Amino acid sequence: MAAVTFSNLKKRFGETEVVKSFDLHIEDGEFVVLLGPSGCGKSTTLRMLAGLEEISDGEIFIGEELVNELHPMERNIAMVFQSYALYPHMTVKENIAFGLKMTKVDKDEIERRVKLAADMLELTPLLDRFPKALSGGQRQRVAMGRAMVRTPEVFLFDEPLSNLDAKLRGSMRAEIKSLHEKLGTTTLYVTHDQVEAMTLADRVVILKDGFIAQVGTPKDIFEQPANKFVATFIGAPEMNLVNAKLEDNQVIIGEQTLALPTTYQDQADCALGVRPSDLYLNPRAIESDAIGKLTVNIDGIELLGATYHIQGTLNGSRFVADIATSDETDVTQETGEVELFFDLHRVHLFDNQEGNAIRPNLN
Amino acid sequence: MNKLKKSTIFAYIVVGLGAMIMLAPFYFMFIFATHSNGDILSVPPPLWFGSELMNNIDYLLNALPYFWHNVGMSFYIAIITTALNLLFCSMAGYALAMYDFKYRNVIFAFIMGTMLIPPFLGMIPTALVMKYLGWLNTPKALYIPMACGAMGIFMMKQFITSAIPKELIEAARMDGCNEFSIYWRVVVPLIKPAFGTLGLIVFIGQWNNFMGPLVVMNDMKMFTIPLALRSLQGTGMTPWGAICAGAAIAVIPLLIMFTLSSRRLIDGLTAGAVKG
Amino acid sequence: MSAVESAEKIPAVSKKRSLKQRLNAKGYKWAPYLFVSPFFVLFAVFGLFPLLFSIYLSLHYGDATGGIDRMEFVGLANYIYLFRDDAWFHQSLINTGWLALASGIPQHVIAIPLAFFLHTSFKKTRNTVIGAYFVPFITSSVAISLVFTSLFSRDFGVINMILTQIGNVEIFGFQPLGWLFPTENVDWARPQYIKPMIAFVVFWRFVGWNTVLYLSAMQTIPKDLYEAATVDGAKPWQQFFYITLPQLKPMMFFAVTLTIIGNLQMFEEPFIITGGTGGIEQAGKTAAMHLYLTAFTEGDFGTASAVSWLLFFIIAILTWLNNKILGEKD
Repeated sequence: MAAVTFSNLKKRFGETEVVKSFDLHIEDGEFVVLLGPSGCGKSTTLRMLAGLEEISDGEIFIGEELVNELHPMERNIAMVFQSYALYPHMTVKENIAFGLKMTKVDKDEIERRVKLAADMLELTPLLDRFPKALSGGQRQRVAMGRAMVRTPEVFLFDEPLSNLDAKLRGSMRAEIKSLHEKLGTTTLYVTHDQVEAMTLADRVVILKDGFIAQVGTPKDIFEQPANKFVATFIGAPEMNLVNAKLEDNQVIIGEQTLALPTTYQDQADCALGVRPSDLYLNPRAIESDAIGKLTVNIDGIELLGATYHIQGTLNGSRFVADIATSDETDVTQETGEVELFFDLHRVHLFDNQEGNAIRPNLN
Repeated sequence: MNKLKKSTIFAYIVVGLGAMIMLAPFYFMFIFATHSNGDILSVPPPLWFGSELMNNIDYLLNALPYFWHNVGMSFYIAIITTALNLLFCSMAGYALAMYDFKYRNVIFAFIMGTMLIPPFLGMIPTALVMKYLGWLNTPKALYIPMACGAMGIFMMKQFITSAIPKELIEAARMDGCNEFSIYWRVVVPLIKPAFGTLGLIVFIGQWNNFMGPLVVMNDMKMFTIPLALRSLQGTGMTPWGAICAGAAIAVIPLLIMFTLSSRRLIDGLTAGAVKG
Repeated sequence: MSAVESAEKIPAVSKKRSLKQRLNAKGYKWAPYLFVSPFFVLFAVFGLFPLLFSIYLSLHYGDATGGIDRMEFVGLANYIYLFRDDAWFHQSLINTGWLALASGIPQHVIAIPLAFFLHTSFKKTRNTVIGAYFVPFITSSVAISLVFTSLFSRDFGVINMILTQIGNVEIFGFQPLGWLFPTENVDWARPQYIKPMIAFVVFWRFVGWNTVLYLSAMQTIPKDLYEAATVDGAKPWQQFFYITLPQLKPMMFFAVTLTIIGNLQMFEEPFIITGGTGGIEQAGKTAAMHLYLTAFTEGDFGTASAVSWLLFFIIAILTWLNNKILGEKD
């Protein structure tokens, strides 16, 4: 097992730079998820680590070794592909053993390791089948078995669950998680699905247009988004952002003002961010020393089951609230205005120029 | 309604008659192969099998003492040509389908462009080149120049693109394969259907090749079947029975292959032509 | 966020690696060139070099089999000779054109309706019927041309027998088909008959091929076009003219191009049928045959090479014209 370090990594395809100066250190045994919309460079980064993509600039280290010029095999890594990439002409057993055979591991050892992996992944009864006779989840497990037997220093996953249906995805996610706990192998996992990222990762790396938008634990990223992009990318429905002014520790939104419990630098043009799930109709539901209130125009209400989905407008911006159905207040009103309450410690402020988060003064 | 039916029936009859005309030469070839020249020259000619097949073959072997050797040459040259084409075309097709490399599109366009060169253009200089190389009357004069055709490369590229996902190649690379073992252990086992189709096409093309051997083979022993048959023509009374027996021997392997795989052959040939 | 600082702590260690390892690591960069190289090596030696050599030959005179140093540079004399003086070459071009049209046009005129009929009216037997029409295409042209030579012989040929029987059908003492069919055996070796005979053999060989091409194009025409037409009240023959034919245009262009290119190179059928001589008065001698005979019978490799280039340009021009006429307009 080993740590992985990216240092000023760049990737250009012709004129376009897909990965722009990527720096990251992954600790030994850590599970890191690269998350971002399509085209953000996350897969390219993973493929450069795998050795499947030429590195345009910068360096990648696995452990203490510079791997830029190494063949994928020499990097001692294993990868699970989006399409699983099982060899159709080989049985499950041959698929799992193929990498060992290529690296000239002796027969008994191959036999032993395949058996071990098959037992762990419950593939033993399927060993003599061909991939086309397997279900999606079974194929997925074969792909993981193939990666496991190599006892790599780093596991790479490239959107491994995106070909599965929602139900299976959940159970495979749990399986990947427990596998990581058992093996403790350093893992880099690429996905566009934030649920996967939040549930699996020790740390999440959010990418946008080839840049790192934020690195942090799932909790950090959700609660302390570093910028507007992360704030709106993480969480569904996405965070409400309303144009505002910051003056004397007060947020001014049109006619309404909110007195903040912490001190901030004044800011003439900023955005207030509140997550729809942080909004309540009933202030008593909030346990906080600072409760804020905003009056919002209602455009419509939908019952989604566990929550009421209130769509509204505030100061010209869309403003959405998810109100728990258990909230004592009755939601019957379909139009007009509604008062929404929230914990002022849980609001976010961003400057409108760079989109970066405005942090409170530390004095 | 009734009128429509009549015209449809008429069309079926015309199509059926046409099919008979298409097959008639084969029928008469087999019939004549079993009759003496005297029978064939009588009016009306024989319409059913006779008993002179062995005599015709004797005559054939008399006139062409190396006939069985010629048949062997045809097989030998066609098989080697096929094997070389399968190897070289699939390698090139694999490279063009699965690698991103500089000048790939130029290389591909160039290969396709060579299909536009008509074969007769090379007939004379090739004959001279073979003479200078000392390859006249050797099988390699026929199989080396034909060892890697543009059509085969195109077919293989198309097939590999559609049948093998790029991730599979990458998985093999991650599994520790070098580039050649990716080709050999992953690509080759997965393109067997295309091997079958291309193999048939190349084999048939070389088996029927006439212009090639005509200019590089002048020793009777080294003739392929078409050349051998052709040499029966000419002076004096043409031995039709023997010619038809020989022609039947030349055509039977093709008919067998066609019967076994007509669908694949037709699809392969049209797909190769249409998309090219 | 702390990645930058930690990155600096890592010392750059790189093991000594053998050349083989280093080559292997970048295999995906050079392997594709290696994989396509057989084609280029073979093409350079047996494709490109002969072409250049052929240009060289066409500008020289002499017997090349003794070595090219025995040849004498004559400039464009070979071409000029072909243009001005070589009557047999002119004849062979005319023959080629005649044969190309006489065998080519019927191929398409028959293949298109045949393919339509196969497409619409055959289900289970379709593959068998297609097979019957297609099999001539894959059989040895030499073997089958020899068989045809016997079928076409004057006194005992099956074809004469059938034709004269039809021609001699008598109804009340008249021969109603006599004007169309011969009443006496035809000597197919005579100049006026040898060309139709060759053309028929070529037609026979390629009509199935074209049918298959058109059929494959018809199978890509969306079914709902026909369904819409049926709803609009179009009869089958109207559907053929208003839907099938227009939709077939790209394939017609392609198939006609193939026929032009193929027919202008016609060699094997006339070569076998005329016994390699070109027939009486050279009536069955094509340009490709002329090229072969000039080189290998007369030993004039220079003129023969010039013939090959002229023929090549003719093919190129006709293909280009076909592209202008039938090809898609931008």
